[in-house]
Amino acid sequence: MQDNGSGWEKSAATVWKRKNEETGMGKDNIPLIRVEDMKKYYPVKGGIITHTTGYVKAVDGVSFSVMKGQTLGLVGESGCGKSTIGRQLVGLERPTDGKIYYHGRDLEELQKNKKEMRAVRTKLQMIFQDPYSSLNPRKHIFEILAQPMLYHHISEKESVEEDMVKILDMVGLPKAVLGRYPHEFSGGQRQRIGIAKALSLNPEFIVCDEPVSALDVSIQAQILNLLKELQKELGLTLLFVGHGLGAVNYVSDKIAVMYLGKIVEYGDAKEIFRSPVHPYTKALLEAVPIPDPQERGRERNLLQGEIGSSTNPPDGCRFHPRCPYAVEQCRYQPPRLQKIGSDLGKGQMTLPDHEKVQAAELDIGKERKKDVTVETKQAAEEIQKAQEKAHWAACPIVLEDRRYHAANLE
Amino acid sequence: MILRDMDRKFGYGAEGNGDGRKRPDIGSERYLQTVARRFLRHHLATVSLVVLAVIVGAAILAPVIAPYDPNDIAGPFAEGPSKAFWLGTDQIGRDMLSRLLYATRVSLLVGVMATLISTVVGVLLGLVAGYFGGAADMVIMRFTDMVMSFPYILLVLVAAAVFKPGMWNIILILGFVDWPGIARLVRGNVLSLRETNFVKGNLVAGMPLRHILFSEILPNTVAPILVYATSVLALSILDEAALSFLGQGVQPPTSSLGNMLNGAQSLTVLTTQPWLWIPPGLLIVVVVMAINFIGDALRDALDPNSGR
Repeated sequence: MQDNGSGWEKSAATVWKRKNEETGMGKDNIPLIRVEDMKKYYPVKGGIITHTTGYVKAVDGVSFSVMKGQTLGLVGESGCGKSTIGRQLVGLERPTDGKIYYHGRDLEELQKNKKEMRAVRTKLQMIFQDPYSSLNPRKHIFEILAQPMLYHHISEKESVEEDMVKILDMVGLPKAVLGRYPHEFSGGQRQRIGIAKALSLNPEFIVCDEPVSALDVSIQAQILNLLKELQKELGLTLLFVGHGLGAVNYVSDKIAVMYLGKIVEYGDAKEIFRSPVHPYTKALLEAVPIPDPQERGRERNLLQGEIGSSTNPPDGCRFHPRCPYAVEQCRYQPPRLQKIGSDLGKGQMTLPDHEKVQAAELDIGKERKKDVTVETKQAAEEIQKAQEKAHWAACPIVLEDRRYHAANLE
Repeated sequence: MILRDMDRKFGYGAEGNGDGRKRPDIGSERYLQTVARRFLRHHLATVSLVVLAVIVGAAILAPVIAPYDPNDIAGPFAEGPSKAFWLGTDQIGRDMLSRLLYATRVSLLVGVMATLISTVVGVLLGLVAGYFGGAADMVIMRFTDMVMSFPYILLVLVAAAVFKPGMWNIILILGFVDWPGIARLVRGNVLSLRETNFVKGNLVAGMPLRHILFSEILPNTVAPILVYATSVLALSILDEAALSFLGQGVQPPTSSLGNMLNGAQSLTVLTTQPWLWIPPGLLIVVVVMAINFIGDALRDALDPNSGR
């Protein structure tokens, strides 16, 4: 399958663009998707009489926003909750707590109105990890693509074939695929069909749940390029979930690094790659193999131990059992979020707690003072900060990289 | 219309009828062709299919091809096979061949109807239990376990005591005792299908529940259901024979394969009048075996993943 994704016609792209403009979507400065303090707890059943004995805290208080046309990459180890976030955004699961805003409107509220919900459903789509199970083996591609389009009246019976051919053209497939069954295709082709299926509903936002991790390396690049191109042409907004840092970096404008259900570092993709701040991010980057025999002997600070249990996450800083810089205080004192970097737009920052973040723009030199002066509403908070200050002073990394001080992020 | 146009354009289904009749599904033909091709590779099943077709054909055409009225006393009592009576006559002088033809008709009808009822009930309950889970699953599966643990002979005896024993009661009773297996099978399949990406993809696409259940999930469980249904069909025919043999099934003078064997309860018949019990007995064996062979071949032929 050659990649002829670049050869698609402009006219095909403008079809959807025009449709989006007609509906008046996507003209404002509000983030397309904003997630506020999202939590997802799964009950754990057990005991002699089945009852809830605890919760798996898959996502534990995550906030972020994605601007229109941007790609947010979500990285982290398996089980850190990154896919769970994706599933909640497209409505496959409901958050235990927290809000999701779509064009500034609460998704939960939107879903109460059936008609609106149907419209919103088509705008938030998903591309799945395993292209082998994402297409119904009993249906040929025509049915797979046409049924949702017809149901949502995105296309009518007379024009559906024409529309499908356009979409297939966008993803670089000939129209002959329409009459075939999924098992007749290779993984890369199936993933293209999966992308076509997501595109067919004219979405604004697509969650890509590790879309390339099940594919051959050569195909991975094709699919990533295709996604990038489609995004540019259609003005799509993407949430790219993945654990391969290379792939995520390639497609993302912003990256959020997750550890045990929380975002530990968030910022510009390039910045994060150039100068990671959180020790976990550093470890992730160190773990990426370098295809250079000269580098074979290089020292790598790989993380020790396993990712903690999300049923019973570690107290204090969640990362402390594996953190090379952990001190006694990390065991009971959850680190606070900090914004770092001098340029607000480009610098690295963590978001989760909006109130606190607002105030925390910092100049690294003055930052220690700010830490104390900002948000001094309550005496208790002051005490807490004083304690933190003591912690920072003790934190060994401060000596070599002062920014870590600022970035011991929650 | 579109579907047919597409066929033509993409060169599929070139044999499509040009008379403007709408085909239900462009894929069905190709898919069925593949299934047929794989099925025909099982020679035993192919032979079974032919045998079964002949038997079913004879049963359906019984009123036309039966030489005598099955309930008429047409000849001498308990006479062996002869030119006039190919399979002899029974103790009161009715033609055995005619009775056998009508009996096959009744037995097959009982089997098919009972299978139909249990399949519909089992599929619906299995879909609901598997897809919704939780309380619905709990209630349905406990009820299923309960029905499964009924000794059905007792159930039938009680039912026969309460209602009049007869063909339709037998159908209802067999239909009622046979669905739990299908319900469990369907539930198990739905449980795994529910988690597949193509079902999730359609949920994300906002497709309605009926589409998810009947267009995405059900077609993927049809193959195991069909295979299971063939064994239910065979079992129903056997059960009907057993019940009728015990006198609790289809009531005389209507003949069924089971109550024709009824006569074989006597030792004299067993030893000296084999034409009274060998043909119906043999027919049961042949029909049940043929159905089972077909079921086996179907299981292989319907598997979508064996891309041969």
